[in-house]
Amino acid sequence: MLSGIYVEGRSLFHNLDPRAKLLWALLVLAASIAAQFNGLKSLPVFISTLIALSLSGIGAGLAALLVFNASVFLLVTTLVWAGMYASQGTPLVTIGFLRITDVGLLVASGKFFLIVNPILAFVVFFTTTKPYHISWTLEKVGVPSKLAFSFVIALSLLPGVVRAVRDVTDVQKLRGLSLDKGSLLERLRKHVPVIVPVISRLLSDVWDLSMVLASRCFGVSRKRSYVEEPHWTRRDTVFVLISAAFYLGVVAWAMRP
Amino acid sequence: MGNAAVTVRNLWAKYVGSGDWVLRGVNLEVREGEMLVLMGPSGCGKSTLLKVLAGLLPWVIPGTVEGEVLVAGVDVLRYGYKGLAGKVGVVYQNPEVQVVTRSVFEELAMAPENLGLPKEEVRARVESVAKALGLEDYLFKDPQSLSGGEKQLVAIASVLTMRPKVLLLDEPTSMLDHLGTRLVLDLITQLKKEYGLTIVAAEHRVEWAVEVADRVAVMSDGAVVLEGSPSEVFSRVEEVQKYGVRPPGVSEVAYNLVRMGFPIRIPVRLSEMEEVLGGG
Repeated sequence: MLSGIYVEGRSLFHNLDPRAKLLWALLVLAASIAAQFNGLKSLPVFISTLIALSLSGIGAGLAALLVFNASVFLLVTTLVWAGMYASQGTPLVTIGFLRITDVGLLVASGKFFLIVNPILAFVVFFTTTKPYHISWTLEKVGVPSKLAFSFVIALSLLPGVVRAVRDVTDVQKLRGLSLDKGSLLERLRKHVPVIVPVISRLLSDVWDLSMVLASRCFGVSRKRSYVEEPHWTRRDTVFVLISAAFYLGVVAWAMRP
Repeated sequence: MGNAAVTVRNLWAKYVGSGDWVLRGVNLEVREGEMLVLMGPSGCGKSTLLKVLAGLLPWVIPGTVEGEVLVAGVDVLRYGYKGLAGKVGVVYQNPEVQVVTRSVFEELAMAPENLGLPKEEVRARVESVAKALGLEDYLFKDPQSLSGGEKQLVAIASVLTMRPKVLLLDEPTSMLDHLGTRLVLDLITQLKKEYGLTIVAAEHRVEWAVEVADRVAVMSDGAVVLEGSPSEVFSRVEEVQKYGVRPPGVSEVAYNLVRMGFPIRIPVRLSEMEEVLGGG
């Protein structure tokens, strides 16, 4: 039930200590925030997350899906941010009322990377770290045991939500519900027979899960013990040092006027 | 049998939103090492009684509970499920929701880890339960790859690592196929016979119940209406049927013979039927 988005594998990222991976994801976040107004400076961070994706062994299909979704998002950010900075910099392209300048493009791509880079980094973290070890990692960084496990439970239920939506949609389609016909409002209204059973099913699952967890002494002890604890190795130290040098370098570069 | 492991006196219970009481003045006592099987039609209150014994109602499930409930020496209505931590193991109907982790090992380790036990102790408990239940080859498998019956075995194993004094089973075979049911019932029989666990089980497989249960309690409309050894309860065929419980096949056959005028006693087990028909 609590499989989460973890993908079993033996990649470089699977073998790293979860603390090293968490630190790396936070460095990606920090570098993306620092370089959010200049896409050129944030581009190396984006490339590094793509390399991490390919090294995480999560499968080409999932990686391609993530990159495709990201490119759709790029179009949106370009339209929004380039539009907002239309009066600054040298115009590059003018399409009707939309004027894209060099400054607008840099900001738009910087904002795009601000959102996409951390998403990709945390996808790598969550797909290569077992829920059991995510909970352990959160406790190690000072999150209370109960909260750490609750976070993992919430995260782990996400694939269940997707499965439930798919199952209920299939059943309702078999009963004659056509979700892809009619106006936008009509389509939204047609989703009610999907949303209600999904919520009802999820509530029932969560209810059952809460009883199972209560019966398994969840939250009884203030500190949970872990039999399978990851061990920090020299590989983790090297990974963190290289990551820190690279991303802090990007931060320093981004801070320069 | 030893001291009382479960004592229930004048227990009344209802859920939030339910107008009527679901349990109405239940009185029960289960002694250490004894196995009590609760029987009765759907909605008679078996599961609710087990939820109260597990400290879930009203502590996790909102409701009102009145009376006195002592389980493994703990005043359940005062301390709830937290007071019973490590003392009571609960197994539910649906194996799918009870298997919550990525490996059988993690599953078995979960409860003792939640208790904060040292990891050497947790590992020792997992290994000893896996060995006792023949789950050693399953330890590093993904529970989702197991059959329903195997998942239910894992669910039972995962509460045994707490080393509970009392095991509560809420219709553990109701969602299993024939093979899965056999697997689970054999394990419960083994736990009863070899490990002397105190067990309270809601189960509708009557032929199995009469073989392993020390006592049977028939529930109807929130109250215990018949209680005693399987022979005492199921020899009262007409009464048992009146409360919506099917008596063992041999008891039904013998009851029909009695009604036809054959002066025989009513057996509850197949072996007893042989004695009755053979004149032994």
